[in-house]
Amino acid sequence: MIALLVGIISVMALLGAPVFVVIAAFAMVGFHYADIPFAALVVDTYNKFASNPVLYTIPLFTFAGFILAESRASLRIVNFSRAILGWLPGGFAIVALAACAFFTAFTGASGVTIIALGGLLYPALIKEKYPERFSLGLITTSGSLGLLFPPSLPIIIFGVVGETSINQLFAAGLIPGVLLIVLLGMYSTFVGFRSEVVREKVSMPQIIRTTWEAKWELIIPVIVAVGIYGGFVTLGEMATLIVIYSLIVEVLIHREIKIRHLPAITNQSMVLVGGILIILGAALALTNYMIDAQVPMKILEAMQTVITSKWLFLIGLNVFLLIVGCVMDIYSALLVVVPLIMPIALSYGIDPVHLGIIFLTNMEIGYSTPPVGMNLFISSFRFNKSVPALYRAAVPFLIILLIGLMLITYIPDLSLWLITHFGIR
Amino acid sequence: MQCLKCGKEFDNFYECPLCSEVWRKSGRFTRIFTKTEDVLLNLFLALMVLMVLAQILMRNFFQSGILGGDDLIRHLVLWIAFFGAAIATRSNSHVKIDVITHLAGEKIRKTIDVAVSFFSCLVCAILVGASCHFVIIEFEAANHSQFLNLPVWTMETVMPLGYLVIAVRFALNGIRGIKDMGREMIP
Repeated sequence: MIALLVGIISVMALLGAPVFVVIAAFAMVGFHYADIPFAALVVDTYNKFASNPVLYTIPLFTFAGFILAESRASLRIVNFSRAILGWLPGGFAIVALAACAFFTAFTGASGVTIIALGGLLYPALIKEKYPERFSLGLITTSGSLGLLFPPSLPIIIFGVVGETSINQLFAAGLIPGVLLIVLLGMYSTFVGFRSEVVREKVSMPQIIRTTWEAKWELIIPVIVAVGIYGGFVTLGEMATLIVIYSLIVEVLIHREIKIRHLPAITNQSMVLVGGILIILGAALALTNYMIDAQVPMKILEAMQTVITSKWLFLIGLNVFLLIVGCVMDIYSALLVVVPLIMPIALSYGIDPVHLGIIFLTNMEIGYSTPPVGMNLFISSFRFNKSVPALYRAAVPFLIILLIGLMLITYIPDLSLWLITHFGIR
Repeated sequence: MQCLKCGKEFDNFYECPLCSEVWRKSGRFTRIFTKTEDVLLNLFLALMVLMVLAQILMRNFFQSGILGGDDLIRHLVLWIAFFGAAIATRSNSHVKIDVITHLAGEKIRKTIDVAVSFFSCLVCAILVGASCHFVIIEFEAANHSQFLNLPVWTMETVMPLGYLVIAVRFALNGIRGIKDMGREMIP
C-alpha cells in the first residue's frame, strides 16, 4: 500500500504536479503511517512563520527587486558598467555579467533577470560582434549569477532552513561570487579577442555622466552593506528601507513607474513569494517527519562505512547536489535537501556557512543544466530558440562554473576568510 | 510592464494577453473575488511596510514600539504567503517539475493536466481539514496576541481559507479540462 501511494505521488510529481502538493502528499503518507494526526502538518508551518524573525524580509526584498526590474534601472546600470569596462576586450560581456549579477541578487534568480535584461543585452552583444552561441550561453547562465551576493533570496532561505547566521552567509558569498564572475569574465575576454569585438575608448565625461545617471541605483548595495555590517539596522528593517528607497527613486525621482502600476508589481512579486513560502510550509512538515523517523541519521550510518574522509564527502556532496540541481528548482531543493544534508555535513566537520555557499553554487549551475534548468526554458522562450540549441550554448559556461565550484568547495577559506578576519557573527 | 509568464508587454494586470484568458472568460462572482484578493494582498504588503517603518521610527525617536507589532508583521507574512499562493493557483504559476509536459503532445498534455489538477485538489482538501483541526485546537486554547489583544486563532484562519481557495481552483481547473476534452470529442 505504502509503495503504491509513493508511486502515485512520484508519478504525479513527474507529470507536473505543483511541488508543494507533492511534498505535502509525501508528508501525509509519512504522518499517516506514523499515526500522527494531520493537524501536525500545519503546526510546524505555523510555528516557523509566527516565530521566525527574518522570514518577512523575503516579500520585502522581492518587491524591491521587482520595482528595480520594472524601471529602467537596468539600462542605467548597463550604461555605467559599459563606460567603466567597455575598453577591455570582452568588456561588454563582462558588463552583461555584472549587470545580471546585480539584478539576480535583488530578484532572487526567479527568471526576472533574463526577462528584464535579456532583451537589452542580447541584441547589444550581437551588435558588438560576439558570436551568437556565446551570447546566448552568456545570458542564459548569467540568469542565476549573483545568487551569492546579498541580499539574495536563496541565501536568506538557506539561513532560515539551515538555522545559520544570514549575516555570515552574506559575507561568505562575496569572494566566491566575485570569483565566478572573474572566471567567466576571463573566458569572455578570450572570446572577445578571438572574435575581434568592438572595443570602446575610455572617456572620462562618459564615465561621469553614466555614474551620475545611475547614482541612485549604484548606492543601493552600499546602503545594504553599511546598514547590515555597520549594525545600524536589522535585516528586516533594511528590507523595508530598501523598499521605500526604491519606491522613492523609481516612482518619485525617475518617474518610470506609475502608481497605478504598483498593484500589478505587488501581484507578480507576491505570487512568486507565495509560491515559495507555500513550499516552505509543506517542506517544514516533511522535514519534521524525516527527522522524527531519523532519516538523516540512517543515511549517515550507511555513508560512514563507505565515505571516510571530509574530502571524499565533499566530492560526493557535489555530485549529489549537481544531480539535485538538474532535476529540482532551487527553492524546492533548498527546502527539502538542506535539512537532510545539514546534520550529515556537520558530522564530517564542514562549516555550515561553507556548506551554504557550496550548496548555492551547485544550484546556480543546476539552473542552466539540462533537463530542467529553469534558465534554459526562460531563455528559449525569451529569445525564441530551441531548448537543445541552448543546451549547446550553455556547455562552455557550465564547464567554467564547475571549475569555480571545485575551487569554492576545496578552498573553504574563500568563503570563510572574511568571516573570521572581520569576526562577523 | 512585462508579464512574467508570457513576457508580453501590457499596461494593466488584467490585460496580459496570455494570462488574462481565464479572467476574460470568468463570471461576475469570480471577477469580484479575484479583485478582492488582489486588493487585500496589496493592503497586507503596504501594512507590513508601514508597520516596520513605524517600529523603526518609534524605537529611534521615542524609545518605544508598537505593542505586539512584531507579532502582527510575522502573521502578515502568513497572510501574504497564502494569498500569493492562491493567486499563483489562479494563474497556474506554481513551481513544478514539468519534464514530461514539455515533451508530450497537446492532447496528452490536457489529460495529464486534468489528472494533476484533481490530485492536487485532493491533497489540498486534506490540508484544509488538517488546518481546520489546528485552528480549532488553537480556538480552544484561547491564546491572545499582544497586538490589539486579538485571539491568535483569528490570525490563523488564513491557513484553512487559503488551502480551500487553492483546492477549489484546482477542482475548477480539472472540470474545465474535462469540459474542453468533451467538446473536442463531440464536434
